[in-house]
Amino acid sequence: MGYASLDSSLSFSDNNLPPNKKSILITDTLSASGNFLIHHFIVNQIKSDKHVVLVGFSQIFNHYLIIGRKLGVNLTLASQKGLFSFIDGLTSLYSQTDSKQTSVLTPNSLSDSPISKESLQNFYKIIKQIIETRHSSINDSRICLIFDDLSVLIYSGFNIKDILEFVKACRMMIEKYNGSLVMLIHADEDVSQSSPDDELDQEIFLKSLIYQSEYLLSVRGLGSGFSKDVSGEITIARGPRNHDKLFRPSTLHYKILDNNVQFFVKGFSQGVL
Amino acid sequence: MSSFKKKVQTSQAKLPQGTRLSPYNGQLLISTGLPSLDDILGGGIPIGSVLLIKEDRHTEYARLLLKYFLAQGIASGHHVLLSTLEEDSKNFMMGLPWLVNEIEEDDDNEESITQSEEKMIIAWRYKGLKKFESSVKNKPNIQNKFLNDSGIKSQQSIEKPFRSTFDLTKLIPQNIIMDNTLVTMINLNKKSDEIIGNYNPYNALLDKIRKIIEENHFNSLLNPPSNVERNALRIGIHSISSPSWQSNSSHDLFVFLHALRGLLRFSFGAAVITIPAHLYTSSSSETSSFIRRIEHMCDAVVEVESFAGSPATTNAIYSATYHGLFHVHKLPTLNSLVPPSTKLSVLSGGGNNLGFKLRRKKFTIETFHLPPEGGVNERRVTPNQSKKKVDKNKDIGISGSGCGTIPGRKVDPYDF
Repeated sequence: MGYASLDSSLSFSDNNLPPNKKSILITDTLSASGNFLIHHFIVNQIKSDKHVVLVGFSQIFNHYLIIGRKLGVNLTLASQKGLFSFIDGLTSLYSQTDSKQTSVLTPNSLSDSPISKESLQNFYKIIKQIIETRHSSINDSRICLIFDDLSVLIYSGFNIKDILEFVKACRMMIEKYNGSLVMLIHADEDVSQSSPDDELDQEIFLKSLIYQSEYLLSVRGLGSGFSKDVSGEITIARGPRNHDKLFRPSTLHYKILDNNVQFFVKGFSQGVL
Repeated sequence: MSSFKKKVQTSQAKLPQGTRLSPYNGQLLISTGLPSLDDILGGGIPIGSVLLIKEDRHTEYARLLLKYFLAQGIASGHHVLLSTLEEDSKNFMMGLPWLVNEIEEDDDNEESITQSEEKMIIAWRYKGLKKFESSVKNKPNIQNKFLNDSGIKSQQSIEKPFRSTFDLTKLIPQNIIMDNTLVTMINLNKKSDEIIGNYNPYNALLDKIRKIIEENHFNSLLNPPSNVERNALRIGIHSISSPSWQSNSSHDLFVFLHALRGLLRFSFGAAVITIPAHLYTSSSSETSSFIRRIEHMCDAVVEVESFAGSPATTNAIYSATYHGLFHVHKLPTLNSLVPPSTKLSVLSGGGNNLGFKLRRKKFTIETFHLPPEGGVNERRVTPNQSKKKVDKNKDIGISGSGCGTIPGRKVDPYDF
């Protein structure tokens, strides 16, 4: 399984899989990247033989493959079995002509693929097509759609409304398959310093996503600075839509190791005890 | 044992010249030209990544880092690509530092010899500990000598080095720049007819980079033709997004960085980009959201903060020892959960504060310490055998070999 100590804090029933039709929002900062949480959800899904569709805007397939191998899953094999699909948003965001899930470098030019509503709709179609052809065959696929770094879309200049519409459409589609949605965005912009436009965009985007999700995992560096024994701090909170009575919000510290991440209550680091 | 040997041989045959595999995760690395910066990044810049350097105010230390990177590229025989809008790129290339002569002694080597083994009287418990390292020394570089002996002018060195030692007082020989087919300077200055139109310098630059990657077989997915040996590409972009880069919206830069990263991930290349981040902030401490976004788009982010630019620190006691602070905001984390640097780095592994100094011949990044009270000048009085506490403190301050909190070196007459 993924990170055992995170599983126990999240306490999802049913094999630690994210609950049906729920979405999880991960926010991170520059000093503490939330990328390690993505791997947790991938590994949990694959190990329970459930499906994963990963949209990587910030890393290529190789990155997830190598880390997955360290965590005990073989993504190439999972991909051959039809459990795992990767959509390369890093190289092909600006030319979505090919719907291949593998990382094929295409000579893409920015000029002939403008950043518009159409290209997002195109992108949605690609995701939909992949899900329908590869993952909808089994009833109990419990598919998990993961967006690694949605912030890229905002940074690239897509209209905020279009992105939110895109996310909503993805969520609706996922709900059809009893699946779940995991999204990662960066949330450490200093609002007071930004220009009014950017500020509004970022605020609206972040708050709308929070409003749409049931679980919030917020990762940040330690306020006191770098530490050898603690990599950062994570707050597990419920979203506005979450009415689960058993859920307990908590704030934990974590330490990233080579092939695991330990989560512990503040002050209970192994380096301290 | 034999199987180990075999593996090394096969993998070495494939590596492009002047590159090395990371001992942590097998990532292919190229050197920045500075041992200390390589150490901080975890051995070097990973191939396929983008390093962002936030420039200092009023001074040009970040520019110097870029020069080291490019000079190392030429010394390693890589394809070097430079783009700048601030100055003539040929001038920039002419100003690169060049290799030290093997005859000249490194000034640091003498110091380490003269450091005597001093007996610890008070803190004897710590004697067994290894010496605390405040800086990284370039290991005696045999390859460096190799290169000088065989003569770079003939362009026929046996094996190109991963890292060379550079001397800031030496300029790169002109013929190396002029005759080198591996040096590409991209001139982005607008042509007169394009001023009115929708000219986007980022798109133009990206198209050129893409072309070079295609033409020179840097694409890692396609095998190069059998007669061409795989080489590495170094991209240096100076002062990106300064007022000279005129584009219509700030999104152009984000799109450029995203596309560049996607491009490099499947190429044998790495980029170093410097950015005048201070132009986008009103106060020195805060980071504007524009810069923060750029930082998120790059694989590694470091910042050079010069003391010359900040009035608060010019008179501080440490400004005599260091010329500025060196901040690490983000470390390259490719294909691993932990940045390799946390395992391998001497300097930043423990979360030390870092400072840098520029000597006459070289630039170094070291761990940042406040100097001992009373300074580190040569002691005037002869050592007193009576156990005065004050004297003991000074004693440690001079030799520094013991407790290890002070960079153990004597005052260098050239130090300023």
